[in-house]
Amino acid sequence: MAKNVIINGLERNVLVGMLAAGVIGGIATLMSSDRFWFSFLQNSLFFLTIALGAVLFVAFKAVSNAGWSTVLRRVPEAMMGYVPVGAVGLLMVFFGRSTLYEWARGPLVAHGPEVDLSFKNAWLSTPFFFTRMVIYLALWCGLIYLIKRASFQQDVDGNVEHTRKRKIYSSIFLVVFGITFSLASFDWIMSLEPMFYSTIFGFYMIAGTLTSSAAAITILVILLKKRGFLPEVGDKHMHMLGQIVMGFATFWAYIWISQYLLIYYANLPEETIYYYRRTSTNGWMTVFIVNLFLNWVIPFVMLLPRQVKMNSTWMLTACGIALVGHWLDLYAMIFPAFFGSPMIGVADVALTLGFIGLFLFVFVRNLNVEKLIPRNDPYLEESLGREGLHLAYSQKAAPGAFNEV
Amino acid sequence: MRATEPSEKTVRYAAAFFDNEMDLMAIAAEARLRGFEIQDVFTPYPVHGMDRAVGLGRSRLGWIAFVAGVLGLISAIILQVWTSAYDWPLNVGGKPFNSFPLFVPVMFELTVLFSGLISIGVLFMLNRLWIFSKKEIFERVTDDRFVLVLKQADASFDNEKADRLFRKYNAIKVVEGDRFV
Repeated sequence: MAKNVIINGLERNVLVGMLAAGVIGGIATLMSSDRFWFSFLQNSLFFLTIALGAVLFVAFKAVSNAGWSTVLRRVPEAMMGYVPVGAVGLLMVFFGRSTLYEWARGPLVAHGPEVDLSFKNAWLSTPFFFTRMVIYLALWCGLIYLIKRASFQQDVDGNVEHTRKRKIYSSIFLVVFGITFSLASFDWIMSLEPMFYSTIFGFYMIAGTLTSSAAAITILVILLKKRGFLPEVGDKHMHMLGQIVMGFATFWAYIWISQYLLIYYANLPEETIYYYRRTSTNGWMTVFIVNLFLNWVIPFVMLLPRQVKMNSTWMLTACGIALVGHWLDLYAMIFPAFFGSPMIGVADVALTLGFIGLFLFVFVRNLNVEKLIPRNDPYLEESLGREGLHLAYSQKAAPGAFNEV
Repeated sequence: MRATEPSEKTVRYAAAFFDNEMDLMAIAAEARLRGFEIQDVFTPYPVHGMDRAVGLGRSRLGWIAFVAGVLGLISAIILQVWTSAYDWPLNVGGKPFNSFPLFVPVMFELTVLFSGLISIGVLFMLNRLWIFSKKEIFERVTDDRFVLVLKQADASFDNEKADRLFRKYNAIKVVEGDRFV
């Protein structure tokens, strides 16, 4: 691995410190508090979905032949590197299953005589549940490996065939992910309240994933730019990223109201219980409303004008709010069924810090400064435009050296 | 991409034809630097950055779309609250008459509808493309030609200089005329 100069020694120590704080705080709260496993599930899903959203970002661009994002593609590709790490982390839920999941403590019991729970009990049995989890995670990791390998091999040999391969792998990933992630959301989050069901739930998670990962990519690109990397990323790219964050935030709101509205209309007790728990106490009602504002209202209004998408401070703020929104969204999905009122405990702070440290650490390890631009990608020229291409050439030795390793 | 003022409906012009957008974008920028006045440019498809190359200011269409969207949103709220809670309250599934979540889809739809239709209408009006208006267009400009139209407003227009500029950017042909409408 080439030497990494993206962060200096102090910053690296800060990241390691955050990681250590997470581990220490985690171990301390594991012994003493019920919150640990819930917080662990929330945070591991938060960062796993951000990393998976980065794969979606790359896959969408590959499948739709989009050229503009090629110059910043290595950022989402480095974020993908977190998926295997996050997958191993998520598998640790195995040890907390009896705290988290009612069905892991014994077969579910029907409250009414006419309810048949045999299928639900078979589906939500511990061995089958964790087998599925391993299969989903392994499928994602495998496809991510293939997508990344094609991208990096093109850097070496410059073969256009790799672009076609990447497109094929991305198509497969999108189909596989659409199905498995939906099922995974049902498993990992919806089964916390095993009697509640909503068929749009997986889609809702995908919407949150897309928004938050686009926001994370934007933040990381801006931070890299501030450090002098990726000078080729210009106003055009920032404008596009801003549009994507804003568009997906609106998509999230669309799915949010779609889920809420149908449950509100139909008024069936086993469905409304989900919203009842989240709106019946003042504390959770506040979270419910704030969640809507953080995920859609504020980012949407902030990113509406054209010029602000090219203003890095403004974009950092809007994307940061969207990220906090996704964190709170997961919080509001996981916690209300088990805790009477919202609060932030030691476990939440420690685990959030720890996961931030872990995510950034893995990201920095995966980001190779020497290969920050996919040099042999056929879409690079389109992505850079005239001025950007000139800049890229002048940074390297000579135009002729551009195609060499 | 019309930059004309209403009072300047007819003007002498020199139109140069190019076969790619890069040449057109570059010559537009250079022509402005050299003091030529650009009447208009024509491309078969939208070209990003062309507005900046031609020196157009920011389009006001965004504001119009925004105002139209807000108008649609307000009309949707008034329409639904008034009809379902005041003018003719109906009991639908035991919901309150004034149930906000049910109004959201129509609020969304009317916002998009107003915003879309009004922007399209205003766009055509600003470009003076009324229903029965007749426009002559340059040959192949909707197919594979990129056209730059320079104003030849008065004697200060330097034909030789213009010619050199056209040749520098590989103009395929140049057409002159005295009525650009």
